[in-house]
Amino acid sequence: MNTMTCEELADRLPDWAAGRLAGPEAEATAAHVHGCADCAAQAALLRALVASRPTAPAGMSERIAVALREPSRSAPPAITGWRRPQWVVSAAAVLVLALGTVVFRQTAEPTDVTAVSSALGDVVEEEPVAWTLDDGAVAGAPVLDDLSEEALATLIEELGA
Amino acid sequence: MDPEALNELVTLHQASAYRVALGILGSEADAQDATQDGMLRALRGLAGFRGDASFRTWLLAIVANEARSLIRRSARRREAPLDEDVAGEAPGRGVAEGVVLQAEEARVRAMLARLPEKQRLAVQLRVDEGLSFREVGEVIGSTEGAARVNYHHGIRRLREWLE
Ligand SMILES: [Zn+2]
Repeated sequence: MNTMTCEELADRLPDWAAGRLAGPEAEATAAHVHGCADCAAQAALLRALVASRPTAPAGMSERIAVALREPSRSAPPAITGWRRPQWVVSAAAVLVLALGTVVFRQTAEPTDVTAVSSALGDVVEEEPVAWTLDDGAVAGAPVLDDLSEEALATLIEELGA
Repeated sequence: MDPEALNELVTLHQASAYRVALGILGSEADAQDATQDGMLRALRGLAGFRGDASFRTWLLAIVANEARSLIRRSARRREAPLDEDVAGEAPGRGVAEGVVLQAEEARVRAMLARLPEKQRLAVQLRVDEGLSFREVGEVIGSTEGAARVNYHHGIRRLREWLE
């Protein structure tokens, strides 16, 4: 009989089923599996998992490599993927109204500003594209980062009122 | 870091990253988005990599977080038109072209998707990626012991379902 218990074997069985074991360890595992119906059933399950392992979609790594060469086009490191608190977006809107020339570029249509100003207070769902800056980064946090603490405090106070 | 080295890292880890994202999201298109965003985030933030985990483990944890955050904003995402690339993708479960899964294999993979997330990821990371239980824990945010328990519970459940 084998010296290895089923429990000891279970931890390494996925490596054996995936062909990642070699030498005496692989032989000992194979010997146990051949003599143990329970571990053989588990190994069969693991082999089925290994056989059905998804592969990366064609062209994905090229797309990532291309995106990597275009630093600010997608996935800005700090903010993408996180829904910013409402006051941050609103603060950006106020900032646009106050210092419009600094923040906005030609990408923003005048109608956007009108829409924002008329609906100040519930502008949160404004499409991000309206806030696009020259460098392609999504506006908001980067702009607010440039604000002085004093200016930021003022904006927050206004919005809270 | 020079561009070639970065490309090499992408090539080396993209499949694992994609599988982790797919395991969390279930959708191939969303998994591609999360993989790309997570890898960009990781590779641009390499300074944050302290070397206390393997690069792969660190990367997979970032991609997993990206996938979870994508779930939170997925409703909004689905309203947007699909990228051409994504719209043109082949149907199927992300398995390589020309590979025909046996019915049992496909069934096992489908069952895997029904496990609770931690068990599912523990099984995936241990079986598909060959991570140690300590590394699995680093990706799913648990101890080594908890990662082992999640793995074994997941395997046990799969066996029960498939009997
Ligand atoms: Zn056994």
